[in-house]
Amino acid sequence: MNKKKFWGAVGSWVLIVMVLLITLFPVWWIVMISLKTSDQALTIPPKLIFKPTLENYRSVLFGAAQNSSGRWVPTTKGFLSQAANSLAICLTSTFLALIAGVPAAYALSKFRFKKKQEISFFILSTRFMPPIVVVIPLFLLYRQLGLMDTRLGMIILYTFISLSLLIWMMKGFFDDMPVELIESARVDGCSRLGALFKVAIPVTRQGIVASAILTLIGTWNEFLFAVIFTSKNAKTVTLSVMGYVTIREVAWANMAAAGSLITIPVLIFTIITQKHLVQGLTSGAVKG
Amino acid sequence: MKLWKAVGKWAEKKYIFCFLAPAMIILTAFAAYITISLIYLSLCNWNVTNPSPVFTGLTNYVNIVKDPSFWKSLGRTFLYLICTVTGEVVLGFFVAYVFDKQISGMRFLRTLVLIPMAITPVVAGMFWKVMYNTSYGPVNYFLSLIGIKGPAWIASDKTAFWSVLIVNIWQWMPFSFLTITAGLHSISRDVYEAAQIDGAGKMKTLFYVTIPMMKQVLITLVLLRAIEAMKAYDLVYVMTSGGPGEATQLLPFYIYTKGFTWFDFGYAAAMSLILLVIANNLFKFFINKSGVNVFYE
Repeated sequence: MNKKKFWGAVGSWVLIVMVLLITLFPVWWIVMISLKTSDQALTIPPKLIFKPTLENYRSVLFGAAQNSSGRWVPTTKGFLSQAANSLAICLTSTFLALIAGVPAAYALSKFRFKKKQEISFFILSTRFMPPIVVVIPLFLLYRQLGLMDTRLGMIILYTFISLSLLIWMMKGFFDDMPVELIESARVDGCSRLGALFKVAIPVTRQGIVASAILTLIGTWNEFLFAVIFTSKNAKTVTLSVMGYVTIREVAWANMAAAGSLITIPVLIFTIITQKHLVQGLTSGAVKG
Repeated sequence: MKLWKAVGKWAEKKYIFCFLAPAMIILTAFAAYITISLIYLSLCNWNVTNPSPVFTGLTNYVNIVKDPSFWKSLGRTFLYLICTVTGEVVLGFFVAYVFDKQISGMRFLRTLVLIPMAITPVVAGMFWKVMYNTSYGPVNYFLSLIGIKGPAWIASDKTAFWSVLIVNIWQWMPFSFLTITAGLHSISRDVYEAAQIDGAGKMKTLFYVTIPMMKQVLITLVLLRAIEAMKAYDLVYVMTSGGPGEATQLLPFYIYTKGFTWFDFGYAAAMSLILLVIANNLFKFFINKSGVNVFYE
């Protein structure tokens, strides 16, 4: 190895380490805070060696009125019920979006018909729509219909915002499926609907799982609608983080524990599906 | 039973309609309701003093045109869009290039880079807010270790906008990285070998071979991230609430403030409609000009 090559390799490893430090430090820092007592949480210089405690996780999950040093900590009993709300809302809306979205994506991918370009663009354009634009009309409608702060109201909203992304992703996966598979099923006497359910859906099941996971993540992390449309009964899990900010103090250690708990499922799913995420999100422009 | 058979037969004949109908009904109903009610509300005066909407014609629009906060928020939104997209894509490309080595263990390191993307944006925002804190935040502490006196970050109106921008880039650079890495891997090694035989250096290969071959990937990426930048809201809400002053007030947050702090629904609806029209035309223009055909071939 000559000198130039050697220094090149050293340089690129220095860069790799630096990139990892910058991307991972905040994450590591949040996790560390979640394992500290609230007195240690924000000391400067950061305490690197400490006795980790799971107390914050316990109090986030099961609620606690006082912490170990006797200081008052905001009651945190809502976390589990908020997580249940989020699960119910996100799973139902993803399921509904799949039912409506998968056949539409299939039609856009595999058939020719009039106004196809206009329909595709319309579906895509609902994704351009900044969510804040939706908020005022729906706020007024929901107040009239009594849908404020209900799971049903959130499910309707999340189904709507997920649909375009899901159709777009699934279309990419259907595009990759050879059309001959459907044709041969048709020759064997399969109906149009049968071809979708017995051939197209099983063949693209990995894509469907990836699309569903991405829809779940998007709705799980959603914040704007949750802030405006829920207040008590249908409060979602992202809002629980804000619950640790009170007038008297911010319970950083508890907040870090809650934040970590919210993030863990997302992290696992992101890593599992990373290969399909690229292909799906770029609609087949890039293969994972 | 007969009826079911008839329905089945009809569905078989009109299959495209049946496949598209559920999604189209949901999307059309929403889009139509939102557009129509925005148009109506934007022509009304409806705020705390007027409990029910009163038709006032174009008054809201006239006031918006005269409102310096509106123009500044709009300008900031565009600046935010340009800076986040450029930052994410350029850094994502750089990091993808650096991590593009065929060594065992590289896959694992690449997965590590993705982690920020998985963090709930609100959580990321809350903790970056602490990290930026001038008295107990680690950012300025580490800067002081290497002898730099850190700025006030989100506490100063000069740096707040850029501080929020940094968090956005930190969180979403991994997405560009992931996409670009996939794009790099899709270029066959033969192409590089051919470039090498022709005597192209590393830089020449990058600019004349790699980037042109990734054109489709990069355009798609820019579009996706630009769409998200237009929606930016979470970080501003948790980190700065648009402040200090109006330094980080992007248009979506300004609409939120007008609607839900000042309860001026008519004004907020008018701004919403303007944002909607801008977003729609901007992205339509971009798609048509860029010639990305993945969206509708």
